[in-house]
Amino acid sequence: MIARLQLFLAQRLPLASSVIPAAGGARWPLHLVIAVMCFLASVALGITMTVSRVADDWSADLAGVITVQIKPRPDLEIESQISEAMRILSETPGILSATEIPQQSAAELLEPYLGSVELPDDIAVPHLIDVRLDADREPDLSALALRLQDAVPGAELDDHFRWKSRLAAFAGSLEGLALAALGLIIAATIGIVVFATRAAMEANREIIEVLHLIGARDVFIAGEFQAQFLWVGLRAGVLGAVGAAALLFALTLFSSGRGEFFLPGLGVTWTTYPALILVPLLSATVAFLTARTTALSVLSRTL
Amino acid sequence: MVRFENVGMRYGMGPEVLRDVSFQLSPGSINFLTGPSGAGKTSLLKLMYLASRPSRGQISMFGSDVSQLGREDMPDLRRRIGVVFQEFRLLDHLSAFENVCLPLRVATSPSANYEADVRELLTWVGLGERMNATPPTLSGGEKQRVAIARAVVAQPNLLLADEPTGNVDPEMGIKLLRLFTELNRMGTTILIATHDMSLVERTLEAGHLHIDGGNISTMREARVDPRGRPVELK
Repeated sequence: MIARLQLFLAQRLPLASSVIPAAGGARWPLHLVIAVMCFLASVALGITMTVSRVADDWSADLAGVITVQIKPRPDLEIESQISEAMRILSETPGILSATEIPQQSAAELLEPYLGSVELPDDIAVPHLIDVRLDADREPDLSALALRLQDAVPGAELDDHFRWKSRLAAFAGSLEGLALAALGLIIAATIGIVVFATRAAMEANREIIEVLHLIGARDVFIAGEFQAQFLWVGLRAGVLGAVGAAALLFALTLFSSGRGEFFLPGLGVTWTTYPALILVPLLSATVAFLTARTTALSVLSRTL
Repeated sequence: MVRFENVGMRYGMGPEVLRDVSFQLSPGSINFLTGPSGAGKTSLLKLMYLASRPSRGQISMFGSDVSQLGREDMPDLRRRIGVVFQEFRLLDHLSAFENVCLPLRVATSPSANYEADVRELLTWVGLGERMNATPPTLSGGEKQRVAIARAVVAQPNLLLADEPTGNVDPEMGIKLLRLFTELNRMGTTILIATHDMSLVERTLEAGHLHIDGGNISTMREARVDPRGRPVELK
């Protein structure tokens, strides 16, 4: 059946064959290496997108929220400290709400660090007030912090800036690392394709000479190599991206429900997977351009 | 058409294989190049089909000084030259049909424009039933006919053939020579390198160059009929 189909195609599409023969089995190692590169690139891309999303989620969670922390003082009634702080907050323009967090909830926040044991009464657990800000007219937080400190001894305003800036720096570092990894992977892929193109040209030197002698231009010959490497890059890219997508999906399944405490889950969202399509396209483009440039460079040194 | 003036050629630092070669081929002529093995026939043909450059002297092809041409000019010049290589140099992974199409394909002509002509040409050289066969499955004579078909398919201005009848029976040899004369009648200048003196004697209108020890001598000038009448085969 296949033989008959091939004969049919050979008769109907007599010029379908490439002028430069594909290397057949010898190309499989090349597919494998580029597929591994694309797998790594896809994983790097997936991790970058996930870290970026998680950092954004964390920042969004903290946007428009500040916390007032009041440490109990032996010389003061904690209730009067809290009510004074609440009064100041309610009088400050740009604050939507101020809610005291029950001590039970505060204790739960400490649970990951201290365990689920009953806290001794002499441990002064700070009281927390969750404050929601009006995004359209946020108050002057520095002035508010000073006013709280003056009026309520032991009160501190936490605008989470330090946490957010460290989070942004962490996310930026990870993104930078992933981009550097992507750059190295692309550079390695270019090196591999340059080597493979030169090897293919050396293996087909006799054919190239015949093509030159019957009047083929360099761009025609280079076109044969670039077309072959375009498909190698695309096929290997698809293999790598599919492998990476499977890994990321498995990691997502593994990490689902593990977003405990205040950290959101680290799983890959569905929006990440379409972005992986870029990897085979990038791989094909890199292979195409590299093979073309290499072939034209080698051919320019012939007669 | 083709003019060599005091051309010398050597491979690397070796001795000269061609020495002070001077001759010219008139447009529309048929010429034979004879000489013993190792005399320099193939080296001379290499210079003519632009696979090598001379060590010295001047080569003029189609009115252009070859030494003045850049790489980018070579393809256009080479497309005006058809070559039958002694060792055929067919592409083994392509069918006979695809091999013959190659000169037209590299010239980026749409395949629909020449497929029928290529089929007709292959049928004419007796390969109508072998069009889809690849060179490794063809006999020596069949390969030679594919090589000849590939050389003439684009109707070149100059045809260079290195022992084109060496692997075919006398009857096919005569038939192929008729193909060359048909091509010559349409204006193609032809140079055939051969050991077969009977071919040279049979074609009295043809010029005869003899090369020996790297030196060339003109044994007989080609006669060109200004009315374009084909040379007569005896």
